[in-house]
Amino acid sequence: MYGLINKAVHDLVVSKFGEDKWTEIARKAGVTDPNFVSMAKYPDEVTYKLVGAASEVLGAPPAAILEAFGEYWTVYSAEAGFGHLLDFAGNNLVDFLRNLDNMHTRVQLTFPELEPPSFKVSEVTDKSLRLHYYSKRPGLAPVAMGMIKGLGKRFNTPVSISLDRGRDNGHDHDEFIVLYGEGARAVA
Amino acid sequence: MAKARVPSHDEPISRPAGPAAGLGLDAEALGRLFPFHLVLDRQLAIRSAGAVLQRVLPALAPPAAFSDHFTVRRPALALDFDTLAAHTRTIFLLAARAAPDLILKGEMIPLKAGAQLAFIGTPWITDLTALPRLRLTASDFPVHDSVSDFLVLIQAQKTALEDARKLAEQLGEARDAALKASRVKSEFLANMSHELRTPLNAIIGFSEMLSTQTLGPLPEQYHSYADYIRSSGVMLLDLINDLLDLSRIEAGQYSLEESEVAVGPTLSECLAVVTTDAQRKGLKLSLEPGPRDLRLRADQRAIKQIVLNLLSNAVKFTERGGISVHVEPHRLGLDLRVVDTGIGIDPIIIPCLFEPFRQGHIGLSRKYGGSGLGLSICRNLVELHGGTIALASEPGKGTTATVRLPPGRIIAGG
Ligand code: HEM
Ligand SMILES: Nc1ncnc2c1ncn2[C@@H]1O[C@H](COP(=O)(O)OP(=O)(O)OP(=O)(O)O)[C@@H](O)[C@H]1O
Ligand SMILES: [Mg+2]
Repeated sequence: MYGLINKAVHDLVVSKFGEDKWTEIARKAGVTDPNFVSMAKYPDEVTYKLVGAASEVLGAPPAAILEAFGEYWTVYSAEAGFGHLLDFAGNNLVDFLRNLDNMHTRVQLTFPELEPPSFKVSEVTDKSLRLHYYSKRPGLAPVAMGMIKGLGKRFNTPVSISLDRGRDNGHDHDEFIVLYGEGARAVA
Repeated sequence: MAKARVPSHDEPISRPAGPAAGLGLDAEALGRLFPFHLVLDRQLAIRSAGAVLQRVLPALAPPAAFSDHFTVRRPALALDFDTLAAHTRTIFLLAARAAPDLILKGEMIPLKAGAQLAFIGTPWITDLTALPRLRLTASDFPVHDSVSDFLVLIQAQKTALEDARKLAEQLGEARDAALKASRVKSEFLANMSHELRTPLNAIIGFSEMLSTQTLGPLPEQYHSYADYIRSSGVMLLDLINDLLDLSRIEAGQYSLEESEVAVGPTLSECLAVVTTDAQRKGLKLSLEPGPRDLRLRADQRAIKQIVLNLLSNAVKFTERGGISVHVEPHRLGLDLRVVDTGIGIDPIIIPCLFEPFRQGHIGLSRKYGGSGLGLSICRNLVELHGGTIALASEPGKGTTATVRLPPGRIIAGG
């Protein structure tokens, strides 16, 4: 993945747990040069190892780390110079999710080696929707779930997300049920 | 909170009201406007293709199968007519099988009441140098298509970035060279220590013999010359010692020799050194040594040097009143304070005084002498101990120098 992603992992750890924890995590993950370059491509392995090491050092399951990362991403990407792109993608949750696929396509146009996930929205009501998530990478559904939560915060609307069916059960992609607004309040 | 609105995303923004609302373009005009378009039928055979696209992909002769010539990079979908037709307002990236560099970016538009599908797009290029490889020139792009302007923009930005990168590289090299020069200088000075001090010690030693007339009386005149040689030699030795200390610190060759330092006795020794000078100026010296038996883990010589420098400044810059030394252990460590009632110094310039060769009383420096190294050495030695040093002053009233050592340095009595 692009360095941008690893940089966000770095920022998340340092801001929540301090520079020392990061040093420990980076060492455990075998990262020798922690100065990631946003626009340079790194093997996916680096990111997976960082998540594994963070899970050990911070004593949290990998899924929790991935979800926290997802939630942090909506804040980080805005600060890392993609704020306008986020604005451009929509000013409410539903619009935004509908544009998510196009947005990653646009990002891919400038990051030519990007292997972005693909998203599709179906069964939209004023309380809920179904989000389809296609990815070449294994195990990142918690990231997507964290991101949706982060988007709820961004748009100041409550969200509740659950995995309806997924690649773990032999599907070719993951499908989430996203309750939002009144829909999320009803289950809270 | 605002009620969540479900936007009517899939509806066209406005529906053209029959053929009258169309542009009424003929085939040639359409070909010029969309030189990279494709028209697909329900079997996904290519019914027609834009002229430039056909030129770039000569094998693409209708009715070729779409999937023989293109792959859909984005979005992720099953390749059938209805699925494609359902993805309006979606960015499609089509990669040409015969020319993997050629990525068409565009969208699908259903035609003829659903019997056909048009792909309207344009090559996605981010580098002007890719154009010749794809056998494309600017005139292949319709004027309304911004890709060609965009390429110029990117090229300009690339040039600017390249300039910035070169500049950064040059700056980096200059910095490395400066750092190296500075290190070489420090190493040189540190290594010169012996060479400089040996002859000076001889000068001081022999002039001392002359001025004490060890080997018999000297003419009055020679006696005072000998005195002068000796005192100049001592001043020069002091200066050289300061310079060498500073360069050893800068070269990273100064390592603390840590031992247990008894605070009270050490301070008394330092005060004794400046007593004669203080008495000559009629200044009162006092020591408040704090808790008895207070000891530090520190470099004895360095602590003495720090306190002596501060005391010699205090004596030098005080005309009447006195100088007191205070010791105060507390939660944040140990404070050593040297307080004088002297001429003081403008607080604005205090931060500069810790740099080498900086003196505060410019016009008066002849009167007070010195070379401006004392405080800079103090700061370095204090920092080697993990501490901090600060000056506070009110011009005309006096100055307080505070050295704060971290709590970990206190062994007992704190
Ligand atoms: C401006 C904002 C965004 C940018 C610049 C961006 C960019 C990226 C990048 C660079 C990657 C790594 C892929 C690679 O390096 O090959 C990625 C992956 C991903 N993005 Fe985004 N993204 C953005 C917003 C979002 C949002 C809001 C979501 C919400 C769901 C999202 C979902 C994902 C997921 C789940 C992945 C994981 C990779 C995978 O499944 O293969 N992204 N994105
Ligand atoms: N106690 C003080 N009162 C007033 N000014 C002071 C005092 N201590 C330091 N200064 C100012 O700070 C300057 C720098 O002090 P520093 O000890 O570094 O150099 P110096 O005393 O001039 O020379 P050196 O210590 O090398 O003999 C002094 O020249 C003086 O202007
Ligand atoms: Mg001095």
